[in-house]
Amino acid sequence: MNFAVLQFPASNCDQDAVHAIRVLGHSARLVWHKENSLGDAEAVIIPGGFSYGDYLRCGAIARFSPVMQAVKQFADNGGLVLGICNGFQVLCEAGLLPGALIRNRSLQFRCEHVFLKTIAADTPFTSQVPSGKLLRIPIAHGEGCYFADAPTIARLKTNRQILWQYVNAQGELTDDANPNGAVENIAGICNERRNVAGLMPHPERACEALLGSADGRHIFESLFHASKGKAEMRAA
Amino acid sequence: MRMREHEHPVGKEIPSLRLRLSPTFSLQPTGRNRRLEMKAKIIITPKKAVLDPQGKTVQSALEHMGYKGVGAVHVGKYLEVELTGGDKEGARKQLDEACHKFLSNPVIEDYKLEIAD
Repeated sequence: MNFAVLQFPASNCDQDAVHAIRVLGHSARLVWHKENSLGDAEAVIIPGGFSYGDYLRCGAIARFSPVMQAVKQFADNGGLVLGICNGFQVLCEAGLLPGALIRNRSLQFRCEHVFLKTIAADTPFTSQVPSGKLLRIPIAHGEGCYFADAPTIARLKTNRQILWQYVNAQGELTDDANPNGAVENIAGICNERRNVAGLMPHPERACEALLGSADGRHIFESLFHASKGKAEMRAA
Repeated sequence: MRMREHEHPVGKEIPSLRLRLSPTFSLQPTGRNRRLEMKAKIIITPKKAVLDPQGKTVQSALEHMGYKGVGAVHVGKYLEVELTGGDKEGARKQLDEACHKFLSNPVIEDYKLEIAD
């Protein structure tokens, strides 16, 4: 499977994403923010870090970059897009995902491992997460508090667009397990069509046991699985 | 008039250069070449329903300092946009659109736009 990993000025998890994808036996290419095309990519990763200094708001400027126009078109055509951390913020600012990410309730930059509960398993981002398994994945952000108004949250629930929630080691939704004050402990969501997703935690930093956890693999394996399914459908 | 050495030449005309030093020490052309006519002032604040931890922290700091009667504090942003055209209503329409699309995020923020002559 071919991935395009976007690169904005100040992206800093782009190389981690490329490394994780290659370790898992697939190919990835870095795509500079000024490019207008994603080439033959079958999925796009918008990585973490920063973009354009995150002036005004996180992701507010990045969404106008040439490469994001290509990503919009790619998503409109049903292409798979995953935004991680700053990438999640960019997708919300671009209107490809509902809601927004604001300053952590604690005002602190939080850098630690968290536990995630997968809420919807029938998506290209979650299908290979073993049923009932909590994912232990690191976060590293100052502005990861997910916010959307009540009608939007209700819609996310009805359409089962909430993919991951922060939980404690026992899998319980508690305030203590919520590292940033996100509404409903939301760590990641997808769009209604289920081809665009974003999450604050970093699965690309948790794909090898050496790094303390390999749980992030399940998310990438879900993408590989979805792409394989698509290819088989095309061949049939 | 001869200035003492420690005085900043803020706001003083320097005839030979035809430049005026602003209080922020940036050099701006004055006179006939300057087309600046209006200034837009935009105040962006977090929506009431949105968590504002910065505002809360500032409020509690003010209370700790002993200031009485301090209620909720909201921390936002202030933008000044210099406008070079003369069409006030046209500028307002354009900036209102820019505020909605880019300068503020309507999911989490409100804005107030004012255009001063």
